[in-house]
Amino acid sequence: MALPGMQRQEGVPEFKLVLIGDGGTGKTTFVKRHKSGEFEKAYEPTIGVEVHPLDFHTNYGALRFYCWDTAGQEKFGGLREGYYIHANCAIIMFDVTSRLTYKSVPVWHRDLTRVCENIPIVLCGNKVDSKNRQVKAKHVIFHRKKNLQYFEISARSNYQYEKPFVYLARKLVGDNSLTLVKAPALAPPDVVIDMEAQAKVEAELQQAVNQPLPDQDDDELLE
Amino acid sequence: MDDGSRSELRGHLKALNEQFASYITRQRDTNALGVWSAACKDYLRYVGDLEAEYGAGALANGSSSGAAGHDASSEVFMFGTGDCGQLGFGEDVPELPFPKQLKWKGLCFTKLVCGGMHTLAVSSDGGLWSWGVNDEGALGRLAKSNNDFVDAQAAGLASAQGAIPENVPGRVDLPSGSRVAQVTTGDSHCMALLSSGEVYGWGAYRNSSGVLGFSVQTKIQKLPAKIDLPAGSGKVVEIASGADHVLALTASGEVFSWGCSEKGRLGRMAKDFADRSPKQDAAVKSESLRAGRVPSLTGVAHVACGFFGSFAVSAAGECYGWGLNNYGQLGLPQEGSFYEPKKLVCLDGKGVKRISGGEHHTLALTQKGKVLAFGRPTYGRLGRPDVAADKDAFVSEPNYCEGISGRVECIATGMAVSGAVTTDGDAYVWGYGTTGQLGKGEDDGDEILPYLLKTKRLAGKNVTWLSFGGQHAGLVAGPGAVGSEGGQGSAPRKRVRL
Repeated sequence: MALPGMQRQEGVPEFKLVLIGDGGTGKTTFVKRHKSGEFEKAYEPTIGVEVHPLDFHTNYGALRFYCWDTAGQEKFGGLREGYYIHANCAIIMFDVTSRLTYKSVPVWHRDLTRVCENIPIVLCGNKVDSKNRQVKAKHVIFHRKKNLQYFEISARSNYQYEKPFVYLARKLVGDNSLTLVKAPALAPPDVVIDMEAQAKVEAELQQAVNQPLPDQDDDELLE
Repeated sequence: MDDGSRSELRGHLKALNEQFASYITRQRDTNALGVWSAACKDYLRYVGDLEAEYGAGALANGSSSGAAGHDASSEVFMFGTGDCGQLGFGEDVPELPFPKQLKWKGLCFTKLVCGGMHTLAVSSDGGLWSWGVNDEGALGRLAKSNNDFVDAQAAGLASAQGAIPENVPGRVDLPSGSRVAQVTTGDSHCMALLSSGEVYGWGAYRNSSGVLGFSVQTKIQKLPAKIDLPAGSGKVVEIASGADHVLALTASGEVFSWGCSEKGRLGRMAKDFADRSPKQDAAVKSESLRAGRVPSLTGVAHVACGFFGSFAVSAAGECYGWGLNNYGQLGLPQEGSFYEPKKLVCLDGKGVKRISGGEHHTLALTQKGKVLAFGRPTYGRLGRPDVAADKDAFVSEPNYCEGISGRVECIATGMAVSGAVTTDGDAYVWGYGTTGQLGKGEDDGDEILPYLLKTKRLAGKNVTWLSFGGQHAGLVAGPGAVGSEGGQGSAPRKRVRL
């Protein structure tokens, strides 16, 4: 959903994407990597949200995500419904160098699905370029319980930048073979990611996905 | 209350409880079908006498600050989500659907507080222990399996203490000979009030851009550091923690605040300054991270915090609130933020003695042992039948939680959950169930009204304390000293109405 006055493109499918996450998880850095979006963004002061139009070119043609970013004001704003309503998809972001930023993920997921039932949602662990990584693959249990797609990303190095968008586009279009035909114009990387170390993490993640969730404890309720 | 009278009160309570327990035990064995109410009335009268002598609320305040009410046979039970080690059971227990006792090397924990993704507990020998996430120094110790340990090794600091993993209890070093009177914690910071009146803190405060820091000099304070109040402020008698800010009450009834200033939670800065980014103006950081007095507040008897707000209660029961009010969680009818203390007229005459705040809601405990709730109702966190739990609404008018049987002496709040512990030793929980903080096993549904937490392992125990973290929870329970009927008795239960 665009804001009034934003330039729109005839015939291009548009989706409202809400970006949720603690302050400091890198949401704003993430949306600003996309150069056309950064150029055309608009600010809505009443709900304190910045809307970035992010264009992607796929084998289905062009499509546009209107990416809503509240710049860390999620918890301070008024009623959440105004922000979530009519969202077509969402990205929930946390910071793999600070597990505290994982705290609110379950509540945000509920807040979101309460207003927008059955929209595709991606969980993103950002800052995987950092040497100070704290989140281990097996730590991230919530998305497995809730069947959320999880991606490791690094906004500053552009690592897997397009992955969440492609996943959401596939779900929205209803075709898992959708691909990008042209890479989005991104700002050049600020850091270089250690691909060897990251490949190891990705392998562990894959392994964790295939592991059963831990056994439940065996106490019981009394009548 | 000073140490002398506190220990005196403890002595009286011990004698009273022992006499009462032995009488009840005798009655149970020899006169099970008789009427015991006379003894219960006597017990209540003695408690009333003690309250008269040591001040109203002395017994409840004593138990919440841990000075009385707990004994060496208390046990800590943990429950909820713990995939970051916050339950303290090590790596193999990432969640506990039911409360489970945490035993660690024969130690007995007598009180605990749960933070964002970590936990602190006091052992019966007076030591302080911590476990969970240490990314921003919340554990106050160097812990294995995160980068602190690597740092410590590099610095040649790999002491025995440094070798303790973060996901099991490890000792926090405080000045030797000190006794912890109260511990509070938020998302990434912790505060320990020592019986000397000194405050030690560690960790970091976050703001809406990430880590703000602990002090002007230190971004992340990994080991306890003494907090200095302005000269002449006197002894600190109570502390409270929001998600990223702290309040301290001094013996003279004045209130000091420090931490993140956003949305007015420190109550001592104008809006323009409090909400300014420290990146644009370094003065915001230096001003907010040092303890400063909240002007206009005097004669305060109790301080409390919500995640992003603050409260003060005067000895006469007048309540004040400041900070974020986006869901009515301050009890003020106007939506927005308040940058200085405002009188909470809605709580006038209610006899409020304690307050506890969650992310977007607040509970207030009255002298009569009833619980008032206000703020955001979603997922049932208010426990009120008069507001719809499926609506995302602004509810600033307090009303009573319904369905709690007995007199409440301890209230607890988490992000979207609430709890209360009664003098009968029962724990009630309500609100958001997804992260297992209601302790109902595989059932992770919400409870929109207070729900009695009653499991096999808690049978026969008296719950005395409850605390919620970001995704986990913990409680303190002792043996059912007042007989099996008083605490978590087995079904069918009868109640001793004290």
